[in-house]
Amino acid sequence: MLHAESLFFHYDQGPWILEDTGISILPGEIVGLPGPSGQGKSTLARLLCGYLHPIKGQVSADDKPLPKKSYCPAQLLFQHPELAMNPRRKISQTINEGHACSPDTLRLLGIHPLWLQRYPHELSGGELQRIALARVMGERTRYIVADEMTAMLDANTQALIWEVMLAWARRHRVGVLAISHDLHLLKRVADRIDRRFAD
Amino acid sequence: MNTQEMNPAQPFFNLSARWQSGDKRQPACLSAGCIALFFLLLFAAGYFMNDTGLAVDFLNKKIAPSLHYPFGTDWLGRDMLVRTVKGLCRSLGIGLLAAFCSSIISIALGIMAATLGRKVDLVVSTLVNLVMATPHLVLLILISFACGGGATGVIIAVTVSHWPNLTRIIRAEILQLRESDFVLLSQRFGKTPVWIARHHMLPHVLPQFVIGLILMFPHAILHEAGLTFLGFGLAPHQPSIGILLAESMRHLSTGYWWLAILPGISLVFTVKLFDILGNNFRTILEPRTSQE
Repeated sequence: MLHAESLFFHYDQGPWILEDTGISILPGEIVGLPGPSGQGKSTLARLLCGYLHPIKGQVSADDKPLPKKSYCPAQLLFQHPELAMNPRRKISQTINEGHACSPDTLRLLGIHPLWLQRYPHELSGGELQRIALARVMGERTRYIVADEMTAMLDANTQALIWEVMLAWARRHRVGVLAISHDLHLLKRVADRIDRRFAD
Repeated sequence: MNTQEMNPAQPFFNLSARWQSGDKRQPACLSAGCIALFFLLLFAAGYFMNDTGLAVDFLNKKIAPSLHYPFGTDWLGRDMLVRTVKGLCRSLGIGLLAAFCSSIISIALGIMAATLGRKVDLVVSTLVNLVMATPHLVLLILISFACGGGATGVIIAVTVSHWPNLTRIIRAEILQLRESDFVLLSQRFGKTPVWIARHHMLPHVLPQFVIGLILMFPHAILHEAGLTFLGFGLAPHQPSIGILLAESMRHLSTGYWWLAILPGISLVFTVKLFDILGNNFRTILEPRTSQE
């Protein structure tokens, strides 16, 4: 279980963004987290994946605190994949950074083998987001936090990405926290919707 | 990497098609190669050239540029072509050495400022501001004079005064990279700091460093020539561009134009070549332009 209890967080000198916030995601469970911008959804996502550290409180994955130095079982998917890839590394290097990506994953996500020899600026946003997804679809990933993962994409790519990810998550019992402002999308993909930021 | 891997159908020996496809990398490599060849030839010429051209020969003094003496001769009958080539080699050598030393200071201080915390950063930034705020030539003259002049003085002066720009660039680059999403993500994949430095930071910092170094050469060479021209630099018994220009000043008004113009043009030409070389390297190393 990806579990956070009574998290408190603020940036440098700013006001509290999260106060006494808790959330749990079971293995294999798809949780939707809707809400307008500026409420702290992305901050929560970054805390859950270890990109930020809470002022008070703790995040644990399967009863262990998130590791600082080894592979983090909770992985974050960004809204802008082009910022999450080194522009000077080829796609093949990027995609295999966390684990050796299998040809099956590439085929499922419709990633053409020729793309692997290119640099990120030569691919479109949808293509990059598929590569970002393939990059975290490894055995050591137990939870995925998808922060507005498909907000910038067209409907076809959006459908493909969610379909592949949900099938994979169910098969490997990976917990998913889907963050989006699009309630209709979350209703379609999620088992349970957490409305704390929605109202 | 290159066009063939992208389009397997295209035969790799079809050079003209690759030129037409607008691959900017090919012409950039070609022109960088030509420039490198030019410098190689220049140094070879400077090394193997006979010293007899430097000897005083009053029978052939003050000859305007001709076929036999392309750069003319000076008031002591010395061949100006030999003096210019030798002088250029000496000036280039000293400039390159100084720029190289300076760039090592730059990268060391830049990395320290970006990685060793706020106090070190503050000290380095203060040093950068201090050196940048002092007028360049004043600093150069002071240091060169304090070190006793000569080649050592010039090298130390140019080294000490040219590092701040590159230090600032490298520091900013590393600070930006450390906060970037792809580096944070790499940490979440459990990669060690050394792995991240090698695979994520180096590909960004190295091109900046190489280009910064190449673009520092012309500065160093010009300042070396300037310092020598003002009399605080190299000793006058061996030719260097600064010395040639300083000596020719006395003869310009009497109509010996070739003494100043031709060595001056060679200096500008060489410096411009370094500029072109730097820009070509940028084209080759940047993925965005290298594949388009």
